[in-house]
Amino acid sequence: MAVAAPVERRSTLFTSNVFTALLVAVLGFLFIEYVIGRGGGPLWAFGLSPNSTLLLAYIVGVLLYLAVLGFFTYPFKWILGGDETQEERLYRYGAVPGIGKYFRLTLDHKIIGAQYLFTVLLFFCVGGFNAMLIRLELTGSNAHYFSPQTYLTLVGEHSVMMLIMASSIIIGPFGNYFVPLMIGAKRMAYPRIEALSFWLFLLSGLVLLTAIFYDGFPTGWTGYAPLADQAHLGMDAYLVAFGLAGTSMIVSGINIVATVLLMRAPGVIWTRINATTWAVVVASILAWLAAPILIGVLTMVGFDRAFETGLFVPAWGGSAFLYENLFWTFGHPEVYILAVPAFGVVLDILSVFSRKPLFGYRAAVVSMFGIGLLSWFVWQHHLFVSGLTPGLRPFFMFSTEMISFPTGIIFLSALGTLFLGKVRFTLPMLFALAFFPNFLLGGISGVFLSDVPADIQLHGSYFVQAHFHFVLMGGTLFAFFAGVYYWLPKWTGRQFNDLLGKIHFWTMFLGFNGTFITLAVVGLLGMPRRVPYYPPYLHTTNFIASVFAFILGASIFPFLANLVYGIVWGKQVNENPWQARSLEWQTTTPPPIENFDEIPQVVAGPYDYGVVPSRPMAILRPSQVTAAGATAGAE
Amino acid sequence: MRRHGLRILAIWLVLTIILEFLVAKLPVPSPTGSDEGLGEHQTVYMLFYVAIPFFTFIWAMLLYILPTFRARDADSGDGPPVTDSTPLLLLWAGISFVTVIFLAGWGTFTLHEITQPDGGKPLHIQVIGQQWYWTYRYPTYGGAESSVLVLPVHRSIELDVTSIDVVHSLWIYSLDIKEDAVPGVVNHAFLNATHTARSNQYGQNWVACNELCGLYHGYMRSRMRIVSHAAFKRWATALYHREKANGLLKNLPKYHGEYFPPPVYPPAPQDQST
Repeated sequence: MAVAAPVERRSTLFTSNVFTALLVAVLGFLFIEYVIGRGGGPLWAFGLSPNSTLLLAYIVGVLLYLAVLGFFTYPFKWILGGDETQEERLYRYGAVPGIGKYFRLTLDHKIIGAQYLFTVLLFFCVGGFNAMLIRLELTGSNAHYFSPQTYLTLVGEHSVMMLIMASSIIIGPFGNYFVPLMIGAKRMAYPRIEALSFWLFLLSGLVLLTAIFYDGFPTGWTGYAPLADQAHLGMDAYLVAFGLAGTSMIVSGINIVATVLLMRAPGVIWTRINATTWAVVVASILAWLAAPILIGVLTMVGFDRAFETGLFVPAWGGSAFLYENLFWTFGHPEVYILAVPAFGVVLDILSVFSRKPLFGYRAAVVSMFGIGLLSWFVWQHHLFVSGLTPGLRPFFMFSTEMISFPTGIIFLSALGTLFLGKVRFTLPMLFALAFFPNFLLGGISGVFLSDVPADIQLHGSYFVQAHFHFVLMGGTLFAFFAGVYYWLPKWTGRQFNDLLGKIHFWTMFLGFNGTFITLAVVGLLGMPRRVPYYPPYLHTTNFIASVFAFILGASIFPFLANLVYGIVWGKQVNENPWQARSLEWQTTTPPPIENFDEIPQVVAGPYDYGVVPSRPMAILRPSQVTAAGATAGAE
Repeated sequence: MRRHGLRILAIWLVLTIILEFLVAKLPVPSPTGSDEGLGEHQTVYMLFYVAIPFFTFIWAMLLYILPTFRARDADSGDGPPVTDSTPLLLLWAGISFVTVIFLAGWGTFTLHEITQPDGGKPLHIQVIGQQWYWTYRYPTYGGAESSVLVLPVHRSIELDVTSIDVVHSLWIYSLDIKEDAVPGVVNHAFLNATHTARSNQYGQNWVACNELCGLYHGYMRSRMRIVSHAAFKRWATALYHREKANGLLKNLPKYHGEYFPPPVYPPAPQDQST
């Protein structure tokens, strides 16, 4: 692809973008579901169950959506012997003015990163709103704002929405935008696959929301099977939505692993890759390997519901344990898909704002891989009281507790980085520092849950709920906001408002810890998860938790205000406002269409703070350096 | 370097002593009502005692580092390029590993203790979960059925937990019993209640469902009573005679340890014409 030249695009009657794609998909869906499906249509006459027509309608809708976006245009053209013109390529890679490129299929990883960021925020707000409604219902022991069915739908929508969102919250915006910049690549290895991962991600959240038109689903995010088999039609929306999210995770994982393996600039040896990239690679490998299990098990539930295969119905020779095992074989690595990228982001930000090299870099990276490996051997701790092979519980107790070993190394690495440093309390640093107390409580409560005798007491209670919110919200969400405040100045060339950012931080930190410390106590006092009713003796603690939760919910508003401010009015900054060494900060702001004017020659690691004599991280224009000089620099 | 280390050690010691002292006064979890719960509560407290030194260490580090090593306004320089410390990594890894081994060992031992009947032949009670209530059958009393869980105090009891539709989970919070009710599977929980108790209006001493099982999951609670052995015998005998007199026992499926659920859908109706 050549240097970007603005291309005038003739306006046509039908423009392919997200709105037209969704419109056509909805029309196709409605046609299948209501015209030829239910209510006397031809498919009805075949005797297909309502589940099968609904699933068929969803599948047709997904294919139409992808077709209108233009995913099939180039492959078919290529198969039939054609190729894209230069003009089409520039259009596809977003080398045109205007904001239309953010709303259509574009192959540039920076635009995809931006699309991911705003979609993640949208899903976060929707999921967070559900959480507020849940806490509203739980303000009183018998305060019935919602029917039990609405309540369970809120629980399901909140949990699945947040799970889908959090699977991509760091890999999506920052992995896509910055991994190529961090390793000195012009683009991702498979831009079309990368775009596919985003558009499936967007669709999965929207499909999930359609469940409310079909009476919701009563299972929460785990979708336990004999219950899923008997649930309303809304369950099919869950199956399709989670399946699409899983597909998105697989293709995104393949793309990022291939990019880091194949597309590194000269000089980017393994030890010159920063922690964020490593963390994203670990999470991508896990996503790539774990999500197929999810898709498989969701397909099996779909078959159970549509074709009465009875795989999970004991009365028909199936097994409820089969579902639990398959789901958690995916489910536990999934937790680390959410958590590990946060480690990378936090370690990088700590290093930059302590002005010190990352302490124990190699140990930290190996620990991330260790966590990824261990995550495959612990799934049965979700089933400690299910009666499944009780004799194996000591093994799973040991393997689960072993996870605290690599996680401890990452804590050591973070603390060692701060020690003797020159700590700057910037906005990203505040969020990165909040990772310590939050994730510490998450980790310690995790050890409580891994010890079987204690787990018998705590299993499935609000203690568990507090635990994984400490890990996922306290870890991943805080790391995400740290990343937004850290990296967005690179996208926009503008700085955020410090005061608004601090208001955001303190309301969020206070609201978060207040909510979930209280909820851990609620769990210790004996409240099960996912109940719209609780006994009166739990009233006070739940009310306190709800008040803190509303403070937590309100903390999104200063953030949104700051986001708009930082994009539109913020103080302009140069290309490296934090004096960071990592490669993404060395190119111009915003990065040009191919990231670097020339493929850089990397000559030092990303963490060489305080090294005397200091060398630049990379030779940005190797062609202008003499051959001898370049050789000496590269050693 | 040594100076920093000693100060952090001092902060850590102070914090640890204060918190270890406070945790002994912790009001949660509430006192247990069974021998098995005792082991679980001991484990929870042991975990608090073990976790606090780690918790306070991280906090001591943060509380010391952040004010001490903050960059002064005019300072735009870098910190010293310390990258690794092999002894520190080894020490940290060693402490983590020893702790993990200790916790896993303790857990395995306690688990073994609490998943055994307390000697003697236990009294069997079958617990059947269904959407959305619990049923208790007493095989020693002809398989009589009750919707209230009545237990004798100071008696080894084995709960045989099963379900006839979806996955439920039996949770008796005051006795620290939790066991999933999985359709087609019988799970066993052992308990020995230490004092008498009954459900009250504040919601204490209830049996709850702990696994999302559909619409009325949150309301799937049943009352319970822990009574003296003589009172239990009186109650159970009366239950048996009442259910025998009104013909319920005859119509109930015969009691069986392995409770197989009936088919989800009834068989197709027979052709009446033949």
